[in-house]
Amino acid sequence: MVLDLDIIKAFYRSLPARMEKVGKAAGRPLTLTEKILFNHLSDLSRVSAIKRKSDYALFRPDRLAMQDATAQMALLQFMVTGKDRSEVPASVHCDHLITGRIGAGEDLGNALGENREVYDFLRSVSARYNIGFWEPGAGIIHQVVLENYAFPGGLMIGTDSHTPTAGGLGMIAPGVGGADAVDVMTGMGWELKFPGIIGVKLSGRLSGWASPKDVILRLAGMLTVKGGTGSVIEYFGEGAESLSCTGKASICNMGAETGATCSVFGFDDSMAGYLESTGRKCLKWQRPTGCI
Amino acid sequence: MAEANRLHLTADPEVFDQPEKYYDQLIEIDLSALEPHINGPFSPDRAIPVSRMKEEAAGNGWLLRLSSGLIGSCTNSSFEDLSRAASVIEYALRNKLKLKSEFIIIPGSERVRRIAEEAGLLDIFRKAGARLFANACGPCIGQWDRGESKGLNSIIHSFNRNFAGRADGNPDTHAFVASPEIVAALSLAGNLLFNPMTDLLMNPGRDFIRLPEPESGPLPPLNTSEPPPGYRIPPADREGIEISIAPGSERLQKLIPFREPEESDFQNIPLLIKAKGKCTTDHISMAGPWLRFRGHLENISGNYMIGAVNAFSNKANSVLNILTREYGPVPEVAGHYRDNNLGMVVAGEENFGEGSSREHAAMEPRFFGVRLIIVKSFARIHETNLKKQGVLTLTFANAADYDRIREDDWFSVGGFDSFSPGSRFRITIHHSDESLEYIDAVHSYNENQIAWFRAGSALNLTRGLSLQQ
Repeated sequence: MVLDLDIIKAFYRSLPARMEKVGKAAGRPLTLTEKILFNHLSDLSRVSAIKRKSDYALFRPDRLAMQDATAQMALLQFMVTGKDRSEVPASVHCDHLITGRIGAGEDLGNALGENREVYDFLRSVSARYNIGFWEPGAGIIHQVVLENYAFPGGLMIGTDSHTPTAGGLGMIAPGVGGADAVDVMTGMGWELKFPGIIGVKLSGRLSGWASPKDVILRLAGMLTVKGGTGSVIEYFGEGAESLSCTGKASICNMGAETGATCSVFGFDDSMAGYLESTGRKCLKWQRPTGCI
Repeated sequence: MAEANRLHLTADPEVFDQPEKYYDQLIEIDLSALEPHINGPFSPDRAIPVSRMKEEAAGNGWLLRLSSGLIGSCTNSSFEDLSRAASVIEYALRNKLKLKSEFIIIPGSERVRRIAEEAGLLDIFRKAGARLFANACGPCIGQWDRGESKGLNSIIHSFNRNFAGRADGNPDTHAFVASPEIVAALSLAGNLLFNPMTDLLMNPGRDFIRLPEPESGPLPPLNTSEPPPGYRIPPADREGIEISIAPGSERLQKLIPFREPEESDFQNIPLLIKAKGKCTTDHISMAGPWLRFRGHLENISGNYMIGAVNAFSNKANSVLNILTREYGPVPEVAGHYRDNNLGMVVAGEENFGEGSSREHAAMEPRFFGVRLIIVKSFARIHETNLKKQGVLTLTFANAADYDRIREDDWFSVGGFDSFSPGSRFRITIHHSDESLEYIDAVHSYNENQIAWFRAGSALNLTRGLSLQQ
């Protein structure tokens, strides 16, 4: 079992009741970013008072993902705490230490030799603390998260700047430093200055040579590398619904290039379809069927 | 279940009706009018519509020949991405066109690689002479060994970043970012100016070929009947698992918990460095070759503050060792103080520790025994990271007091008895002419952060709590 399915099922079961509380506390219509972040506040009573772009708040993420470069010091620190396991579901992905030189087979073989001690450490420390471990060659962290772990409405953090890729599947997923990962693994709240929210309305439909990538290439040109700083980019509109789920993920990935905290799309049919084709039909439908 | 919760997984209808009321900023993009873009070089926000590239490139004198085209990475390696690029290349092969640039594919995961293989996409790429790299970051994060230096050259890829030197370490490589299908088309042309919507390519038989609009089939279901390749499930019985850290390793080192502070740690301690001007986490803990040691605190501490400018000499990585009266590199002097059981003080100016949030920049000073970092202002994340590691972070009550600090000063810190949110510290400066000065300092600790400090570090506090459980 890759997915912590019970946790996600419990998440969706309790979502209507929690969102009712959040809605009442806010007393006004909410953007998707606010819904997800408010729902993950350590202290729900703060909902009505929090000011965007000025107030800090503590959140409870559902997941943590770490790549093999940043995971090393994060897990060495976690060892010091004497805890028996990570307090939130977490995964480690070996993708950063493989040099492209000749081709897949030889390059992977060389990396296994050069980095053996690092991989041995990460494999054993992951096993010890109940953390999912992805061997070198299994894939790049953000693609693996999208295929296996991301779920609409969730909050995750990752120790890599392109963690926001999971926004393509409706997650708020900021990239953070190793210190934040340690906080989350030890069960401390995760602190974030409540972001501003940039709405991007997509109308019409792509055609010909235009692709989802061009949406973010164009937007990066409009916002520049600083324009998204301190904000979440939230996409909506009929154009958003016409994009594939993986196309949405490409757009959210490169939102990092505007300095944005992360990017997110609302749940739609493309996400339902992607959950189904990646073996997570049970997340799509009310009645679980055919789960791995 | 997501389906049943649909209304909770999108914004409220009122937001869609009046978005300008609910978003801090509103941007509209009409997908029907959107043209393919090529962004670059050297910055991902330099957006150029394909149809405008001819004039942009001519005006800037960019090298037009493309040495390499690369697709995939975490950004654009979906089945849709690979199949749209493959559809363009497949048509080109059928029409006797060849790739004019080296072409590299980096699948995002082994699962995607397998479905691309089964769907015949990788065969198309191989027939065209493309190379498949491992399912890993590789060239997207600079892990790309191109053999001998390519000198001045241009590349195009579907990754996310294209800052100077990002892909291959060569600052003379001009990198452009585009969709996988545009990368495929331009690699067939071997030229930055090619516009597949208007331009034709000539094959060896002298036929003019127009590339077709890219197409993609639907994502085939992934094989989820077995665990994904390369995934290790944590075992049920984890108690006895030994964590592997090779003895004598230069890349990994077990951390030794920092001890709790004593007031004497803060009495009569020398200045290590007064940093002048901008001091980012990159000045404090330089990246590049040092990243190799990111799992070894002692070894990576060899880069501590080597990028910071000494306010007294305007030089980087040269500070006075007050015990020997000689100048030396910062890590060497810090190590000498530590070996003599001396704490030390670091002073800085505005927004100290801005930049990437790497925790090594906060762990290294604590490793050497830096007790106090006092600045005009901190970057908040770095300040919090220092607090977590048990380093006392103070801010000058009067920023001009920064100028009172001399190169051979000793310091004593008072105010621990009343340490509470909003309290102040008084620092005694012992100058070498035996005169004394007193400066006031403020802090931003809350109750919880003060508990970190008193425990020696946030980890120590957590450790104390989990041992009690």
